[in-house]
Amino acid sequence: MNFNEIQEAWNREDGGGGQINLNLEPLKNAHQPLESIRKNMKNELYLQTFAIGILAFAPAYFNITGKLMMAYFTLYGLMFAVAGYYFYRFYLFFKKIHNYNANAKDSLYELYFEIRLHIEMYKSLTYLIFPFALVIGGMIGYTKKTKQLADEPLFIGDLDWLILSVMSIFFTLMIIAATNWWVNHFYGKHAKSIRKILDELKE
Amino acid sequence: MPTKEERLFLEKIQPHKGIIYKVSRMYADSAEDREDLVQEIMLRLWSSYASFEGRSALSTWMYRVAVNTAITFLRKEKNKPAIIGDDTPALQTKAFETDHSDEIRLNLFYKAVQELNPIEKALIFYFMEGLSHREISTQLGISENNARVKLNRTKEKLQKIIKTYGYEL
Repeated sequence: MNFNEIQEAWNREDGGGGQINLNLEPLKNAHQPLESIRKNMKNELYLQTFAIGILAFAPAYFNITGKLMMAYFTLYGLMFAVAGYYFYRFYLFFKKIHNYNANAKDSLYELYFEIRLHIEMYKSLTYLIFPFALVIGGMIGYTKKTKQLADEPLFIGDLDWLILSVMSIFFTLMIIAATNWWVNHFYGKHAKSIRKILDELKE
Repeated sequence: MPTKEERLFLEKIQPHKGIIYKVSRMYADSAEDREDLVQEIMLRLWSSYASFEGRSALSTWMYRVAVNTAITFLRKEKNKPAIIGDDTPALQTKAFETDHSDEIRLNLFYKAVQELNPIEKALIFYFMEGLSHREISTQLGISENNARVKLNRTKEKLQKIIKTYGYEL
């Protein structure tokens, strides 16, 4: 047996004959990296949108009033604007049709670029929103504390400030590490496998 | 019910469905994955059809879309690669040693191909379809020389794999 014999058998094969039924019914599961990433990111962004929406009712729920409420909504507005920009960019990403007409190398590079770009955008969205959420959380905590201990100073000394600063930095670092792990675990693996395929095309 | 455009598209694709079938056999080793890959290719062909300008033959365009889709196809994780599937029963029979029919040759070939990486599969697929080195290089976006070298290496690799099954190629 040699390649010619296999090639002859290949040419004689009836090309699926009656074995495949051509139709355009959508598939239930995602079978492309881009589809898989889009599906998961979409679900996560819905959750983030819901969380941002909930924060709008925090002043009413926690009875934040006066100047603090103004500061709260100024920060909230900024966070909303930043998130809105990113959500719009993700909306465009979800709508874009990948170019399967190009040669394999171009198609793969485009795919790799799209995935890397949106992975980084997803990370930066989380990094940007978290400080806002932290300060907003601080405002809520401040309001609760001043109501519970109206006659006592909120912070006794420098040590309290130090603890607060260290905790803020610690939580920020935790969120960055958790985001990196999450994104690399669920999305980065696709970028890695495409990079590996691209490397196979090198001279 | 498909729309008029969808029906016309399906009619045009029909004579070339062998491309979809063969690509799916090369890139998916289980019947379930093959079914999904066929459907995935069909959907990608349909979504890309608007940008098909007719500069090349329909089959050439179909090669690209089908192979590009298959290269990045995500198989179901539960499937184990490169095992003798339910569609290759003849391989373990007496006929394996004596009969050289098309079906057995192709089953052996498709089984060996599962051990290649996605680019090697594309090279072998285009070779089997009778494309020249130049045409293969255009489809993959690499130089003609690179296509020639990679194809030769892949053929050697395939020969070695088939040899491990007790066959010479």
